[in-house]
Amino acid sequence: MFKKKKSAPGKGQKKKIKSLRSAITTVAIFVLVLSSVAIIFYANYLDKVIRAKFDGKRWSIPAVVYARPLELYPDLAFTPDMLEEELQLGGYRKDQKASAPGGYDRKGNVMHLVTRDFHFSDGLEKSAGVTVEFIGQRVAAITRTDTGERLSLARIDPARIGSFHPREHEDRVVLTRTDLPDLLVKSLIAVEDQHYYIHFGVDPLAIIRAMFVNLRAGETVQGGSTLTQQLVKNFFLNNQRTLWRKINEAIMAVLLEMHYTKDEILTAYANEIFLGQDGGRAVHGFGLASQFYFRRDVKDLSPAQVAMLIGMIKGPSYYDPRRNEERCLQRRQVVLDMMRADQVITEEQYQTAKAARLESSDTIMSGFNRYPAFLELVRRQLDRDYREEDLTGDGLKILTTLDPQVQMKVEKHLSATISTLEKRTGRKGLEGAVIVSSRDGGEILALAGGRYPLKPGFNRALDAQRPIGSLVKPAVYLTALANGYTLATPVDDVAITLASAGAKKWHPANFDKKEHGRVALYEALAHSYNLATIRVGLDVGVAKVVDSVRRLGVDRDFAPYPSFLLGAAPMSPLEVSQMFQTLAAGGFYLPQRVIGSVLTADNKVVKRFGLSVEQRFPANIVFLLNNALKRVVSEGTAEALASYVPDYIQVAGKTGTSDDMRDSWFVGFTGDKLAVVWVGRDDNTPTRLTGAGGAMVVWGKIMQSLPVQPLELPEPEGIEWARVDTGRPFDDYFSANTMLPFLAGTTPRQTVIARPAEQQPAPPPAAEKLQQAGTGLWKTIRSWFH
Amino acid sequence: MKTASRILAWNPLWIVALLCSVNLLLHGCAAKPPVRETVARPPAREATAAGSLLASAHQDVQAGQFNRAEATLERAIRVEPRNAWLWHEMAQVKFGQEDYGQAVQFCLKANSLAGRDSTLIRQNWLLMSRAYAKMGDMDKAEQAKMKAGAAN
Repeated sequence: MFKKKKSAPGKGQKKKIKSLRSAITTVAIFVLVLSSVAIIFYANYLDKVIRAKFDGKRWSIPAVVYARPLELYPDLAFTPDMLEEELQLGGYRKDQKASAPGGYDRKGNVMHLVTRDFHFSDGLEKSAGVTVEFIGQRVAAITRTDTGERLSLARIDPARIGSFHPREHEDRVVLTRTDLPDLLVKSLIAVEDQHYYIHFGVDPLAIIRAMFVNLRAGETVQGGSTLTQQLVKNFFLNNQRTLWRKINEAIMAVLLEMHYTKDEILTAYANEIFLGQDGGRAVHGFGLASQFYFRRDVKDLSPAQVAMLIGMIKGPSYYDPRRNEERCLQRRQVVLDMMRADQVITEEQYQTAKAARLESSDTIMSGFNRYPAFLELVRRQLDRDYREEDLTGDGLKILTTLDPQVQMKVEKHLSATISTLEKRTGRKGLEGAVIVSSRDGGEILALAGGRYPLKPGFNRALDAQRPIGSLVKPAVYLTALANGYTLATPVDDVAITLASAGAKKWHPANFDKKEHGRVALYEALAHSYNLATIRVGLDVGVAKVVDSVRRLGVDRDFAPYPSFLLGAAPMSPLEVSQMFQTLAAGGFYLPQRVIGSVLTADNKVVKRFGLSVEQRFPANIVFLLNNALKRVVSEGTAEALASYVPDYIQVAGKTGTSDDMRDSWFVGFTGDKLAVVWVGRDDNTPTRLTGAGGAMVVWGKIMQSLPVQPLELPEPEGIEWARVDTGRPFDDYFSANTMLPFLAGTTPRQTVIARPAEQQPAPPPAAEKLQQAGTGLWKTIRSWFH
Repeated sequence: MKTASRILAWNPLWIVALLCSVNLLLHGCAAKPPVRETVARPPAREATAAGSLLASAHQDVQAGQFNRAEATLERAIRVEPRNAWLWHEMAQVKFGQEDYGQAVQFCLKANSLAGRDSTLIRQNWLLMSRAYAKMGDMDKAEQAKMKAGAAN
């Protein structure tokens, strides 16, 4: 019974168990099938991802950046030396007969050259044999070499100055497998992945070895990742050390090996590996890294240099040669040991390399990526002005406005002059920035972001925000001229105290700590008198001055405090440059440009940002102001410029010095060029330099070394000229008689009489009072003239 | 070189260009006090670089090739930025591209460089008048027309 009883349910149980088993089996099979399907799908998915990525990367050719093309025409101020320099930068070779495109031959003042085909935005410029003759500092004649036919113009294909991926915020110099030197490949394998040519993407032996080493050490000291796994990691994955990531990495590595050859993977690795940081930009690949750290091509690297780069793979910032020199050196020595052990280098090479200093050079090797500060601006304008979908194509050609002649002079004189200034002031650590643009086209011809043009990092021309000091004064006087003032309007350069609720009283002073009494408006600008400027600015209204600065092209909000009138507001050299561009172009705002056009690899124009103009200020008002800016140079604070640039050039300019001489500025324009120079220190401490003592010297040296045209100011309609007697006894500053332009109907009929400071009524202490009294006073004064 | 050789062949347009340049020489620089003359002087029988580019651009404008004309004019302006006729031609290009706002602006720029060249000033105002009319601003179109009449 019992048994039966027991067996009865036993039978049932067996059945149950059986059915349970079959159910479990079914489920298990189901799960197995399902998970197999899932794994297959997942692997398939990974496969697609990895192939898309790899193919995309592999064929991705960077955009090439070009300088402006050199246009030669008779009477152009240019020398054979300059032409030879240009041609060499453009990769032309010296060739006895100059028979093939890209060759040149110079015989004294005669240059034979054969240009290369080049597609511009206006079409193909065909290769041509051209003979250029020079007389003195000018092009005398241009002829076709074959027929002797005279040419009015010859356009030479532009020099390549850099390359990058426009959509990625990183530089890359893409290498092919044949570009990779043996030394690099063998060393890489010796150090990172000894079984690279044997394994299938994952190296179990290496993993086991790494596990042992790590267990013994109690922490992760060695990785078992193959080059393939490292590449996958660089492509897709974050840096977390999770098991899931490891599994993904392994699967993808195997998949990658199934589809691509060892050489293809190795090449991708060499282009992809992360090797450091250049400001906000990642340095990927050996091609760029060897440019970045050594300024040379990969094929020219020495064993010591190869070892340094390979050593850095382990931790590019930890072993950064510029920041952690000692650590980087030790790592390099370890790598060299491994290279010797695997017989990648000979004993002799090893000894030489081991003894080599860790060089991370500033010296220049080739013309490629030679103007990093300028290229930075190219990149930013691409981001700003071009739609992302326009820039997807491979091998885009970016035609820029860079003028290598101007750029070379800018780099040379900024660097040299700063060294001289340091010696003179006895303080090291000076820095500077320069921007040169074409006066009427707004094209940026040259740009320096610091005194060492090749040193990466802070681009002061774009990113240094510094108080502009007296550079704001032209905006103040422009506003005044547009609001009833004339160049001869008497203004009081007399002490003033400004009070505002809750703030300390402000006693602005002149640079020389003196008061200059009653002066003509143009004199106040020429000599950069602070007190007169504040009075004029308060009279017309600070808000109006702020608005003028905005219309001049600095489209930002500035609080309309009285201190704005003396240039307390910080701006970048680039913003200052845009502001004065509008003045130099006669009141026409033209957005400054560095990119002429972008073409696809098959020479279709992607998009052009051509010349555009917009009149922001009446031509006659700007004419008055620019005449006064000429007087800054002919008789004012920039008088010493005459020792660099001859008088007949008639430069219009303005000096600027910020509080405690922290910033030294100079802006000026000739008939064809506008240039802004800033000199200061990165830690914002005093420089002991005024605008004229620092930045202006740099400006003068640069312009002195370039062919510049005299500044002509075409006279708009309705201008009258009058001789103005300032009534001032002759002294160092003023000539007694001055010809000044006036808007028709505003010419003073009486002599402008200046009174010495002590005879003038005491200035009212508070701003509000001044506003009232000032307005009344000016009205009275101006009424004398009407 | 293409443009250059095209121009050097006998072509009535370079005579136009030459005349423009001569015109500029006579009237382009009227500022007082006088400053040194720097406008490129066309050699006796040769077109200047800017002149040949202007003629080429002019041809493109006639043919409706405005984008190419624009690129060519930018080159010309790089060579002779103070040549008011080049800026006027650019205004013609902008008009052709139906960018009437810019057509007006380039005319204003051309006027600011025109000095006492009343022929050019008149042409600028006439073109501005047409551009304003295209933009539907009949008042300004009328004013511009009157200024064109007054420019003689």
